[in-house]
Amino acid sequence: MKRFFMTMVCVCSSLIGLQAAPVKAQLIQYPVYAPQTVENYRAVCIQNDLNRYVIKLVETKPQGENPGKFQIRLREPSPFFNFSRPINDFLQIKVGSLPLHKLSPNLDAISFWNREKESGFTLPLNFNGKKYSLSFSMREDSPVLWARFTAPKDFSEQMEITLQAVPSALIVGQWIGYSRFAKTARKEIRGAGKFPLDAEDLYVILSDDDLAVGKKLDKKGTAVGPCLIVWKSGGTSASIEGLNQYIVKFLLQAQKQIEFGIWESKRKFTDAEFNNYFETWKKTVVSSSD
Amino acid sequence: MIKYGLAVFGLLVGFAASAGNNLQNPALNKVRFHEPSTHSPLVLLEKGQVRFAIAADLARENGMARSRKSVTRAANLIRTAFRKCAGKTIPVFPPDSPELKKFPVILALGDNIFTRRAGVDTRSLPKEGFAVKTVGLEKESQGLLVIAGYDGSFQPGTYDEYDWDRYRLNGTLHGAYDFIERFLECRFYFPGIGTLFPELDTLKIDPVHYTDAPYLRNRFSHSIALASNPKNFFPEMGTEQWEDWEGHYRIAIGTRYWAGHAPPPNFLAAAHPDLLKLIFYTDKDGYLYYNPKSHIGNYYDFSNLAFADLLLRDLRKHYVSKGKDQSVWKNHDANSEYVVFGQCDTFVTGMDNQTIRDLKLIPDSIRDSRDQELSNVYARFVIYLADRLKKDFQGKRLSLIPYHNYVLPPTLPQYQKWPDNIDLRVCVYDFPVYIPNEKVVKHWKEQFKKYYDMLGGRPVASLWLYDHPRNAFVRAVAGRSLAPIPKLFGKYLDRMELFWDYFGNHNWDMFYNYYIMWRCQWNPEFDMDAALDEMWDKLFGKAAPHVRGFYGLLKTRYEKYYAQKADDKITYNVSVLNRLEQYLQDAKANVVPGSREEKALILFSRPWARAIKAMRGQLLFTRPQYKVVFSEKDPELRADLDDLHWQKAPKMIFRDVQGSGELGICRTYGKLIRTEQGMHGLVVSEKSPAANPDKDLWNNCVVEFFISPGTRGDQYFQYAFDPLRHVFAGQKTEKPVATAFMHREDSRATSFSRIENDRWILHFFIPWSDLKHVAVKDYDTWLGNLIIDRKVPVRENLSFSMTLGNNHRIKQFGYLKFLGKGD
Repeated sequence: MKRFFMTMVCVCSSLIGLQAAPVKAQLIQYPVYAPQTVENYRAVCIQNDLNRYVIKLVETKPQGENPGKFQIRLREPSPFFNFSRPINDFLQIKVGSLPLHKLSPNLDAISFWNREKESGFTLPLNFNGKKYSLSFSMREDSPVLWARFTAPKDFSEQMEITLQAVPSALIVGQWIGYSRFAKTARKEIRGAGKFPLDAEDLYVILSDDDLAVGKKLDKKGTAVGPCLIVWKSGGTSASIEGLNQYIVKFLLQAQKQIEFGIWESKRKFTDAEFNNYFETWKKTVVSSSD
Repeated sequence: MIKYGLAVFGLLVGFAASAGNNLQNPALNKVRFHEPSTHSPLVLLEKGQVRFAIAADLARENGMARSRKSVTRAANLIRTAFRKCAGKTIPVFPPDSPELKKFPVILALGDNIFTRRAGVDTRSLPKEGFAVKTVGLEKESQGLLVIAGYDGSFQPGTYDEYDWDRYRLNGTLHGAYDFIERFLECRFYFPGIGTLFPELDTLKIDPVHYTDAPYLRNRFSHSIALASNPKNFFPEMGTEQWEDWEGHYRIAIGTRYWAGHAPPPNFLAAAHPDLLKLIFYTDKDGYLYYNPKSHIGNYYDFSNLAFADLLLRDLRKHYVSKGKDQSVWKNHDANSEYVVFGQCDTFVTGMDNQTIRDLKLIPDSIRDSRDQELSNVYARFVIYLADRLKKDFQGKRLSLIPYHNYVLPPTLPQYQKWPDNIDLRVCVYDFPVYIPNEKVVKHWKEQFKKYYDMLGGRPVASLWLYDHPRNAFVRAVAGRSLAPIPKLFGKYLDRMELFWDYFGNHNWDMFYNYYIMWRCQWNPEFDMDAALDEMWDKLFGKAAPHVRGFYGLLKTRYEKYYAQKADDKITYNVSVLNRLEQYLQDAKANVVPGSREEKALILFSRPWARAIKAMRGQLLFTRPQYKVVFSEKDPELRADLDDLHWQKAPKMIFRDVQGSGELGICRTYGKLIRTEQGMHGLVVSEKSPAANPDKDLWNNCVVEFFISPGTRGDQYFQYAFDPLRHVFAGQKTEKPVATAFMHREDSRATSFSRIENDRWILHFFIPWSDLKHVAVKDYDTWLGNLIIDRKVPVRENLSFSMTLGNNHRIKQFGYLKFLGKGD
């Protein structure tokens, strides 16, 4: 029965793939936590038939001794964990020594665009006089959210992007350590420390040995399943760390452009289910990262 | 036996009629009743017919200053009262006039033959005291009502050439006020509709004899004269007449004592232009605290005993000339009994010179102390001055005002025994507001005891009290905290004066608070709540219960919370504010439109809409943020609104500093931009500003800019600019160790102003080098504030971030985020 069901999923998915509906990217009304602490805010939804991402661009007000911050938050598809809560800035950017969170971007300057089979939006970012751009998009045939951070033509400086994720779930109650692992095209990575990744790794699927859907530590059923990061490797170095922490950090560095994709799901997947699901869409993920 | 019975019956009837006369009304001053004479009731008015005349020796007051014409004023007062209550004119005759025989009753005012016949010796009464007494003049078959007091105008030699007209002994006038309140039920709550003259058709007075005198010998504020001017009345009060509110409040200085900042620094400077460095203090950076343009900014060098010698030399000239030489000492500052010395009203800390170091006058234990840092310096000076005064000007007393950072007694033993010719008015900033706070009272009682011991077992003469400068909820009720003071401090505090510094004006919209405060100055045992109860009923009719509830809630919140130093957000929380508003709404629903009650309620309600709105704003306060754009080039200092450099900068809208959100009459906005060289500010304020070149910066309209690097508030820099390109700069460190506020002579801040189209445009520039080692980086967030202090056409303070009236309060500064290039 299960095999039949999975086969049907694959077939239907393929059919959907053949008749993919266009991607929609738009500003939406979306609640923000503690609005009295928010200086400026926009919520953008990018969706296709395969997935729906809600990205919140939030500039907070200063409070006490803490200056305000600009954060990019992901709140769908997964309302909790992976790239969503409790992470408030799943995407951190630094150009030279200047971090994104110090800026006050003009959120009115967001522009939406449509290309053949791909749609998204671009936010211009001024890093102390240097005009960078950050774009998010989806393709019709892929559940992945793509992002591109581009330096101005006549300028290059070390750029750094850190993606933060809480793979699968958090331990509630007494902390006993995390057993995150990263599965790439080539290997599995576990343990403390920073691990470099190269072009052959292609992608990382982040999960947890114990906090996975269906595993014994997921007593309350809060685990959401794995998530995925894919990146374009040309000119970009990548590494991963924090596999024994609750936040895993994925670091990308380049001079002129960084391109990556993330994938998480609203539906809870066990590790095996995710792997199967991934195999279905692998081409749209991996080939896009070439 | 029958005669005795009839007499008793008469007395009983008399007392029953006395009740009808409301003699013991708790809402009135508590007077001392004596055994009255036995006689038939005196009928002054019967069914509208006048049956009495006034006998008064007015000629004895000819040539007196108007304020001292006690008997004349008393006569006018009584005649006014009867005219307004009964529509009748009461004749006045000299005591020896045969016309008086025609009247069944004589009202004898002040000392005269009738007064003495009644057995009232005005000379034996306490100063400003009075007697009200009725007797029967059997021989003439007339009745006699005496209202007479100790009047300086009737005691030769009371006033001399040094005395100012504030010094006045007007016992008879006080008695007349008491009489018309007690017997005619006149009330003086506020001008116009708040002055009550109830209709009177018949007035019968039963045998009565009572006396009274003020508890505090001096009861004065110049604010009352200002408040008596019709330009300070509100329209609903309904009068355009100047009124004698000093009389109504029984205000007077009943002694030659007073205390204040004397002699005036500009007098000393004009008399001794070559001795400025002797007179005024020079700090360790070489800054001379001499300001020719205003009082504040001057500071006498009281570390220098040669300055005391100079004062005494000038004093000798003054007295030798019998007060004609007022080049330094004004007559009321150096009169026939007192010499008044007070440091200038400038706060200076960190006094430092060779004398102070050699004598170790500022030990580490009191360095930077807000209340005591200069107490030893001060004590040394005043002891020297008092000793010299005692020796060279025998009989003169030295009146002093311990204040600021010398308000507490000295710590060094050699300065803890003061000569017996010193009288102190201690300036207690905590009072009256924190009188309900036991801890605060205990602290000050300990200080007063130290002064008592230092003065050889003599009390502190007087206190300088400070009303709350800003908080309307407290100002409305703080007057009731004056009354407990004498009992709380007992033998450590004399009955000379509890000087009420309004810290603002005597505003008629808080008439009820000032009414009880001035009554308590006369007698601290005055029953405030009985007086207020009567007032609410008389003024507000059916709305009285709601007004009573409103006041009661203010009183409770003040006594139980504010005075106990609770956070304002608890004391005046949303629930309290809602209840206050509800009381006012309910009161409004219970007055008839256009009625006197409605007008009185309009006056009562005046401050509250704004005060409640401001408090709601304070409850919701979050620090605003302003984004400071970066400009590659510096704009020219021309206050040019069309300059392109200002186009990108957003507007910073100024609002009421108290949090009501109001934009004010002089709508104001500001802009800030940052360059590599420094910070530029532009402020545009409607209405032309005050710009008097003969006054110093603080007396003109002023824009202040505060900036604090980072977000911790470790230190801040203050700049002030007026329309005439005057600049004031200062700096203070708060953490890790707070230092004194330092005036900066080395600042290179500058400004330019345009006054055009009835508005003031100010452009200021502060170079980064002014902030010494502190540099701003792109995307840094600092703290800062822009404030405007308008003097004309109205007095108002507006700011970017609400200051609550204290511009230096870092916790109220807003955030300044410095954007990067290209933002």
